[in-house]
Amino acid sequence: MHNIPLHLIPPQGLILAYFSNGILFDTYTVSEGRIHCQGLSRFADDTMTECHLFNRDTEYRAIFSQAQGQWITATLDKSQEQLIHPDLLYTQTVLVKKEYATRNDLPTQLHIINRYHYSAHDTLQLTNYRISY
Amino acid sequence: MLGILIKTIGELSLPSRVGLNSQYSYDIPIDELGFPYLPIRQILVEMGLPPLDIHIGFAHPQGYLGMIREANKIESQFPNDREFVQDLYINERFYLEDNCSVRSLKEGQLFCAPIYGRREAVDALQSFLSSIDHLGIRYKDITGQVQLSISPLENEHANILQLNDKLHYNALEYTVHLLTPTSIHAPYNDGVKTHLHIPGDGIRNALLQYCEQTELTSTLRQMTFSNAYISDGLRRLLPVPLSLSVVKLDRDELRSRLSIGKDPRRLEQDVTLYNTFTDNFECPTMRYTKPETERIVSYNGNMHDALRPGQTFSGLVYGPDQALRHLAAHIQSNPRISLGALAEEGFGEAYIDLSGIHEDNTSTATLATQFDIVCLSHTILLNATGMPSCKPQALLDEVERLLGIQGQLRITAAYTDFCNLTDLPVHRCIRAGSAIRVATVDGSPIDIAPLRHTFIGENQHDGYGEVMLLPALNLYYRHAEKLPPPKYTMDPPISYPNLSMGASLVLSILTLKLKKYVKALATLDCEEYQGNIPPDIPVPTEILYEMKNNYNPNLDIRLVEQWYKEGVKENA
Repeated sequence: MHNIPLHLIPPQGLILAYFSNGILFDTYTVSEGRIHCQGLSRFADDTMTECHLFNRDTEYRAIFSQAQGQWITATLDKSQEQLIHPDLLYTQTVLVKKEYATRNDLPTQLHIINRYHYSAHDTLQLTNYRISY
Repeated sequence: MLGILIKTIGELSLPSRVGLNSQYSYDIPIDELGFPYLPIRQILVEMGLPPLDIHIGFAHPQGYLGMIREANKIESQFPNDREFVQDLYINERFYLEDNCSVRSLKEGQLFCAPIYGRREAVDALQSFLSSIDHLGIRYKDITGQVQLSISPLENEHANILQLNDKLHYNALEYTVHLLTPTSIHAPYNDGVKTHLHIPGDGIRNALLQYCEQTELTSTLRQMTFSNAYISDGLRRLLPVPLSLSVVKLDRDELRSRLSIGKDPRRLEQDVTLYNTFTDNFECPTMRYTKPETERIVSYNGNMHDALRPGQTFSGLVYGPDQALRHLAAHIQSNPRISLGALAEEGFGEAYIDLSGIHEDNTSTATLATQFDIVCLSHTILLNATGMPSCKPQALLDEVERLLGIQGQLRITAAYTDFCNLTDLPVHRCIRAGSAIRVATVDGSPIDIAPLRHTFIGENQHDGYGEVMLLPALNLYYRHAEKLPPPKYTMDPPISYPNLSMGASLVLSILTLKLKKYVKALATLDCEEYQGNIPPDIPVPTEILYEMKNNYNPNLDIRLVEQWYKEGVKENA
């Protein structure tokens, strides 16, 4: 399991994690030096392959690369988007599954903020994304 | 393997529904070889079958696997002989009083539908079937009376692959023969388009389905399944590189070739070769093929795109020696699988066969200063922020990393494209067929043998990231010739019953053809009598003898003479 650096993740928010035998989508908080998430106990014996911890403004992402045999991590923040032209930001709204949407503590939609830029050949290229709600 | 055996005690027909021939009020579905089949799961669900975790395939005539290849041979030699195959199983009538055409299965037919599921589901199905003595409609002579039972399917095993205990294997070749239309949903098209290949994880999931051997289940998850691409019957055909998406034939060059007598039909300019396959894209005349698709109708009336049955797809499984032997034994005992969407309705039925095995070999060095990197399957490469990258540089960086030669290569040409894996733009990959040409920076050759044919990037176990490194060849001008995909070329499981079923089908069809031609001869001869048929009808024995010997030499001549006389009387 990847050791998530607590100082890089939002103190509370949503966790979207992929395990070999399922997906976790739940709320989490950080206190007493650890992450508290009710749904995590279901995957105690499972192998995590990807996780996103995010709130409205910040996302911490960790993805295990099978090819490289190591974790790739990144922190994306809303402040980075201030430097990008609004026309190059495209927000896609995704509906969550019904089993999650019926819960009061989870949002019914997620936003994927796609970041684009123009290449040297004047083609539009997707460079990164941030999950929000 | 188990199956539902359906014996028709009386004639059987089904109510008209979407997908069946609209000419008939009551009909039986018939495949392109002329064999009838029954969508037995749909029929049972309409009769109240409870939801069960069990797969029930289409019911085909007994001995179907042994007959399809022979039927295809007949069809290719004698087009339109499909009607004779149909005549073996089907009655066709027109009821004048109701103005109604009906096709029905003859009585005394035996059909088999493969089933796979857990023991409890099979027992529940058995219990349900015991209460059924009738299927389909009841109309005039058509009673629909049947006898249903569950029993082991005979002669359902893959052909045996000889494995040597002294050798160490690293890959298994398999071939998948589609028995029914197969719909493999392309990303977020929801059935509008089907993949023109079978993804590696689709093959793995089909083998895992209902597999009760937990040891094999965990083993399969660790093995790498390549995509299964269309086969020419022997070899797996590979995706055509995008660099060949347009035939690079300058118009002046084309004109000069025509002036020296080249057949213009063999020269195709501006041909879009996307999603097509070839066995050798290095040669100047590239022969390519594209799998055939058709539209199918699901039980709820929705249209879907599907791969046509009869086509063959080949792939490879990579893994440790013991795991491969274990898998080979499993496939030999369980050669039937179901693939893709709508499998629960009987679509996607396939027969998997083992076509070869590879042993560990010491690879010789392949030195090159210029070479091409071709993606044979969709390739997922993550950038520094964990997002899939679709740039040619990412492909180069990964190859440099794996060869341990960072910074020693440069891209001289790139023909790449990307595609989405889901409806989110961020879930994307380098499209299969992408190709880049690279050269060493300092002009010194490097050994590309370690990556000659390998997997790179993420999700390799599911068939992503299959790449091939080829020494660069200067072939700028290509002819492209399109070939149809071979169909129904599968070898049936070798067994005496299957061999005799195939031979028996051929003989039956030839006998029916003989009878038809004898009666046609009788119709012609009948005109000479002008209505005055003598009681002792003269028979042209010599002509009938000649005809009999052409179709079925072992037939009794007296039977043929009887057909002739019947033909004369019928047309008197």
